Amino acid sequence: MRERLQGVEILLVGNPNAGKSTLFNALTGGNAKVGNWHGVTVGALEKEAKLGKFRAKVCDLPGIYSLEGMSMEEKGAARYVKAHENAFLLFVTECGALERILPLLSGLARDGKCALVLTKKRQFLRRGGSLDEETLRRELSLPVFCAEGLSRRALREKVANLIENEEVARSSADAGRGSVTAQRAKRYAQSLYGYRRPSEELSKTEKLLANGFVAIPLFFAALGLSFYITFAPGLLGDFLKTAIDKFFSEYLAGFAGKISSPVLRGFVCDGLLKSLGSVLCFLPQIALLFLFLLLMEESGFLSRLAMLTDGVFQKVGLSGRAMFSLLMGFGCSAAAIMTTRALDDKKIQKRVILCLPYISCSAKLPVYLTLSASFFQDPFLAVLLLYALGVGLSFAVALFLKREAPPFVMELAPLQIPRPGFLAKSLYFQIKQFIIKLGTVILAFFLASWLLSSFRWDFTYCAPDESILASVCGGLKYLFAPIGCCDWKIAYAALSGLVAKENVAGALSMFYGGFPYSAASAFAFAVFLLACSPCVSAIAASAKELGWRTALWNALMQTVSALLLSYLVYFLLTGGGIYLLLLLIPLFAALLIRKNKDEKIHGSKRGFSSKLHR
Amino acid sequence: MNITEMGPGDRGTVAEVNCPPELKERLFSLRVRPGEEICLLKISFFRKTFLISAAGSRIALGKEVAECVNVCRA
Repeated sequence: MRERLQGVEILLVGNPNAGKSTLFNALTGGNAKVGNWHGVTVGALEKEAKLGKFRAKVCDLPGIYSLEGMSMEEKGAARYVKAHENAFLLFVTECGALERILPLLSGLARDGKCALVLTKKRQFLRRGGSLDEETLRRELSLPVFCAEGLSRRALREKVANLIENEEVARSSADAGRGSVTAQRAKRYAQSLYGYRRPSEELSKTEKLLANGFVAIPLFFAALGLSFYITFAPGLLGDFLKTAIDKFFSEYLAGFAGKISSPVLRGFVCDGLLKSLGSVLCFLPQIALLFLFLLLMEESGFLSRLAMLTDGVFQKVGLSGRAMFSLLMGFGCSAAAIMTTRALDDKKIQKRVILCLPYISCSAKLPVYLTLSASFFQDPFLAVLLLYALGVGLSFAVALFLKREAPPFVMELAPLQIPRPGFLAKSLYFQIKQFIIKLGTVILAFFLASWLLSSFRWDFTYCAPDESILASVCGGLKYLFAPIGCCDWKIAYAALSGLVAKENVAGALSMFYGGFPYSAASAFAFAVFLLACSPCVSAIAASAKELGWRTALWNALMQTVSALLLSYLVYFLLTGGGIYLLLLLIPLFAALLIRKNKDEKIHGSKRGFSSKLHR
Repeated sequence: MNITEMGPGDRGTVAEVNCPPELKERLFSLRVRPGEEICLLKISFFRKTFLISAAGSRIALGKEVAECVNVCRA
């Protein structure tokens, strides 16, 4: 007979970057995002797990420094814990931060329903710290164990035993005395028996990476190298991309070309192979970029960069803490928007969310590479230019929206060598997500696009210019006429990016194979895609944080301004720069003359004479 | 004196923290609070951020925040 499992709720509580999400994944088999940064987890994540005779609902919470936390996610996490009064609490702390968890323990401990989990003990010992678990157990009067080095099975068994033993202990405890653990935690914080802090000295590597004159050039060198390996002709990224491209365009297309039915042949070659192949071939390059981002985060270098660049961010009304969200934007805009919850307040969050669409996410890479062939021989330089332009626009928007910058307080993540297993797992997860997206949303879009662009209203097979799609979207052709592309197919491809940015590359391949217009048009089109509204997933993520009205308004304004910007870029690239200069020179001159006239009448505010005559 | 007036390697005991309540709470939770010993580890270029050690952790403070923390030299 099947034993009936007892239900129990377990909350993972602790400071940011303590290892709660890693523990969550170990207990539940889940895939919560983990990383070496304070603020990776931004929302409560729940999953069921079977722990011994218990059916547990395990909840991974964002890190809390205190019950009256500054950031939105901290406030949410504290509220969540207080609302789930009957849950078993696992206080997770890295050994080096034990003193900081004690106030949280005092504030939240529930006799018989909590335990302390220690993490990162090896690192702590290497830095000269020491800790006696038995003493801790005795002093705090609660179970204490170190999770480092335990297998997933051992961890599950450990937690199951804890819950079972605590259930027994609690039932025989005197409930009227108030939390004994809370009182002991307060007392222990004064004495810290059996605990010695790690050394404060910076290691040689830490000293180097805390030096701006070393760390910043190192970052740009690493970035340049990763771009070079990913995009330079003949190197790893380009080699793998060419291989996949050949597989689709020569090998598979060769087979499909032998299909006798023109409709079926068109469906397979245009609807499937051309469009899917044009996106899938960029997977190696997307994966390489993701690997770079993972290395930055996992090594702890990212938090040092945030510290060193805080001065630059302050100039545009942000703080170094925004670095994480902006860097995540190179991976996925939707995920980056979610990380903004770790920022200190709503106003800063809103500003960062408005800057994020200009950071080129990995989904834009296929279309950049498709377009760059039209205006740059070397895709490496083209992509670098577009990425740099995106970052520039992002900072320009931040400057435009500038308000008072928030105060900068941040705990630095420990420096560590990225674990190969973790990198492989994270990369595998990203690749899997990409292929799932390709096989569902993007494939469905391509199939629908091919059907609508291959048949008339009477369902007879035809060329795209006579199709259902042409009659519906024909009016859109004027949208990109000012950039030399008076073509509904280009407008349709651009707007398909609202569903998923990868669709743009696929749609262009499906209709043309490449980009059929001039280099100036290609660059202006790339600028539009760089600056326009993000995809619906990012708009939805933005709506969750700011509300639907604000998110949709922002998306509309971004698209309109992107269109105008693309018109301006095309105008400048096709000789309009001279006309602009001819217009601006007299304008500047007029402004200068007017300023001098004003100064003669009213006197200079900063002139030396004003100081004498004060 | 405040943290910005210390040099790299200097130790001190926090005497007072003069800043808005939320920021004060964050600093206290990171063990940057009266009575705690801190050590200034590094100053970033142009003196924009100050890296200190507090209770075994590395905490980076912006200049404005560092100016709010008064210390007595050890």
